Amino acid sequence: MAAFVAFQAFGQQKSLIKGTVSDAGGNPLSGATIVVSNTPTGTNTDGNGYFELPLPEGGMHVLKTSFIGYVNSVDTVLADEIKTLSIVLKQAHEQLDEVVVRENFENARNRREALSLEVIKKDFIFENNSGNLIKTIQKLPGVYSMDIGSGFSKPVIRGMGFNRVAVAENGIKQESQQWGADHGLEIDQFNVEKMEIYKGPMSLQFGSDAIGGVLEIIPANVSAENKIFGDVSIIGKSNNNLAGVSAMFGIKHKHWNARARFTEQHFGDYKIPADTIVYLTRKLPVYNRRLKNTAGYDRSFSSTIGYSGKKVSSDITVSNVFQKTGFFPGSHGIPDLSRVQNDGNSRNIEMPNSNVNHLKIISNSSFKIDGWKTSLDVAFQNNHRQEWAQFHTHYDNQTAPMTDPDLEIDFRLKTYTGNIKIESTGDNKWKHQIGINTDYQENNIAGYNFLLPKFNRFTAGAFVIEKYTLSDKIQLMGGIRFDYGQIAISAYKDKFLEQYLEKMNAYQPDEIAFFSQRSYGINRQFNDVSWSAGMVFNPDRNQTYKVNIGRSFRLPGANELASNGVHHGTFRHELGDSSLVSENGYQLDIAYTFESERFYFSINPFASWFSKYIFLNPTGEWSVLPHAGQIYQYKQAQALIAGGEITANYEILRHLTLESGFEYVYMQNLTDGYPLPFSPPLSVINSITWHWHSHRKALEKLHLNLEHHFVASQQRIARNELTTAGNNLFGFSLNSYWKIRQSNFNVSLQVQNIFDTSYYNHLSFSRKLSIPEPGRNVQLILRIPINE
Amino acid sequence: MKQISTVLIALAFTAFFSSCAEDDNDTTPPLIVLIEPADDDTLFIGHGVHLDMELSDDVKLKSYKIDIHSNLDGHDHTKSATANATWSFTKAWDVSGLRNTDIHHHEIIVPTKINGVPIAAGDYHFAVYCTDEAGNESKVIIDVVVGVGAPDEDE
Repeated sequence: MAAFVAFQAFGQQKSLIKGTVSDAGGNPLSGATIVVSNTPTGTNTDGNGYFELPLPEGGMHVLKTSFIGYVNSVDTVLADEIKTLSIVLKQAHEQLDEVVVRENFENARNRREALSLEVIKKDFIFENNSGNLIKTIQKLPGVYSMDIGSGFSKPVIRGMGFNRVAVAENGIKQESQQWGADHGLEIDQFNVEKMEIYKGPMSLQFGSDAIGGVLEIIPANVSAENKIFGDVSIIGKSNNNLAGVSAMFGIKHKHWNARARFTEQHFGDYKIPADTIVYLTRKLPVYNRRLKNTAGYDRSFSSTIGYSGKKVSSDITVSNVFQKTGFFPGSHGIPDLSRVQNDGNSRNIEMPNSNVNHLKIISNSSFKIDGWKTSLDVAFQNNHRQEWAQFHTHYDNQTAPMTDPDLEIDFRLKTYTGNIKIESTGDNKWKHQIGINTDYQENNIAGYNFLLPKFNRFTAGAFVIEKYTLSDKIQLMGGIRFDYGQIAISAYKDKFLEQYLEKMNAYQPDEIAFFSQRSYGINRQFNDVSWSAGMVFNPDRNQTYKVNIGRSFRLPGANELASNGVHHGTFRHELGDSSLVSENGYQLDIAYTFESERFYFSINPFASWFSKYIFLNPTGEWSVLPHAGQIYQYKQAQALIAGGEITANYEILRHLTLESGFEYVYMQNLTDGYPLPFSPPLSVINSITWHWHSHRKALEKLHLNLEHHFVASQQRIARNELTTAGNNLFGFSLNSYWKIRQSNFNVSLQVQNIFDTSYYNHLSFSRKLSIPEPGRNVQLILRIPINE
Repeated sequence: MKQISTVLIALAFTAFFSSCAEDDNDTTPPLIVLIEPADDDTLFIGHGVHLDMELSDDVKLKSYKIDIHSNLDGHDHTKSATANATWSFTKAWDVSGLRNTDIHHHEIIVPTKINGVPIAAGDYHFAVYCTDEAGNESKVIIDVVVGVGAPDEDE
């Protein structure tokens, strides 16, 4: 406590400037960035265009204020004399090149965080819109997409996926069946206005599962002026004949705001550039080059009501995402020719298929008192996942259930979250943050097949994070966190399997008992410490150096602790180990960025070392289960994951920009000497963009982009993985922003995989089924912003 | 100068990580050449199954397993109404230490009855799994028919 008082007293020596930022019409601008030139000090305006900014020391300072679409403003102030400031920004005109106004906020944000960070906004999502949010962002260096069919994907950051990457929305970690190979992320990409992607351990703020990184979806800024606004988007894709619509309507009145969005997309079977696929030595025809039964749809709804006052603000968000997609029946289990015959319909969703419904109710509140802000987030999530496949069994004595006879697997995962965080808001040299996160989970199961046991889990963590501005050029940050976790898993005895094994007259009673116990009753407790320390150094306006080192953890999942049986998503007999301890990792991350008006360069190497990395080890012991090979058991090992990203962006001519991004990850199990599974291959993206702006004509902005994506072959594989050949893909996009008689509309045309190249994605679910990725796709999006 | 030095850093960085990639790990799975039974062959009730296959590995084999299961519900995966017992067979054989081997035997007997109930004739899956010493695994799955009759006397 004594230390806290000291920091406060220390901070009071500085002078504070307060002010507002508005447009020429006097409307406050929220989210504008104000930075003190040649220092890392900066802030953003709040919902009322208001800001407070500490001045590093006495004397004269230059404040630079920027906001996208407006001309930057430069004001000189004397620290001890001027206390309030009204800044008026003018609308940008054509003399402002995009490179200059490029993502000011993002850059400022990036200059203040020690951990590697990518920030994207809805313009990026609009211009790069791909099958789903994860496919859309996979162009970012270090971010990869693990695809399940044409509709759904899961995120991978620097080789870490599944339960090793957390996705948070409005401060709440999304909890679904992330561990599953055929699980996709349940987020409506049309509803994402801004997202931050942390490429490294974030256990400090997010606890377990953030060991590999975090995708944090940030709520939309509330408009400063009273108005009614909205947007409507229409999307069409040629490859899977997708048609979709998304519409948002919002209202802002004084302290209140509300918005609601509805999105629905329907798609047919997707096209692959192949007439046959070969799976398990069986040649399967692909009629009309459409992969049978891969059609699906998604339907999302989200609404928020919020109050934002000077001291108190509060929002309640209710959202629901429903996704349904079929699975290609030819490789669901043993390949069977009769199941891939053309049914003459490319839009029907037959069995096998999966249905997922994710409901979230989130309340975010904050209170500002005396230089401290207290945030309280409370949430309930219900993830309901079902897999349907016509009833089938190898056990004579098992009959189809009376209700839902074809419901193979049903998980209902309920998560209750409560987070509290207190942070200092004054612009002192020291910034403090303390918080507590708690989560309670319950997983219930049904269906005629067994995969994951029933369990409940409680986790709680407490953290302290400190930031210190050492000088104009150097910021230090660090924190520590303690976590407690408890998981109770229910036992499950498979009596059909027991009788089946008895009937074979080939096994000893102890073997039968072992295999038919599909999960054991387990009650485990875990304690973990995570920490992180980092530094940001900005020697001048053009350069940023960052270094961050951290320790993070992940609790073993119920599947890793207790499973015993064939996982139909991976076609393996997977055996848990109830004695697993938490996975621990240390990561070192270094970044250098150089930025001038026409040139941008960044290099970002990292290395992580894990002492207890959990992986599936082939045991060489045969399973006795029907259609199962050897048993794979979860084991822990030392592991090294290292690599990095390099990006460069150069405006060679006015309006013409070249961009390159390189990413590489090396993943090695140091205990057994094999590469870790799902190692992303080296990849390089090169693109050329022609960008043209005007404010006097109907066509305000035009971006033409040609892209080449090279993916190297991946020969570094774990045992029982397939190597994947490299490929070259070409893409084209044309994004235009129109304004005709006060009405805006944006049109995005994209052509993906121009040459209809047949290739595999090493990380896709379809890779091990030997199904090539989707072929050429032409996509058109029309977006009509209303009063935006 | 600055650009040159950063390019050099990038190259050094790549070279470092790609040079670590050379290990003598065995990730090559064994090869199974299944000659008999062939796809859609009949396994005769009460007779031995004529198994003829070649197994090989680039390092050393470990074990193979034969797995025979009913596919009586066929493609529509509905439960068959047969009163007869479906036959399930699982057995593993050790071939550890060998680089390649010809497997030829009639050890798998299709039973006439299971616990006193006659076995069900019809479609079955016949699967061969093979592992090597490193834990790499291969499998071949074919369709066979279990039926009455007698095999040719060519063996």
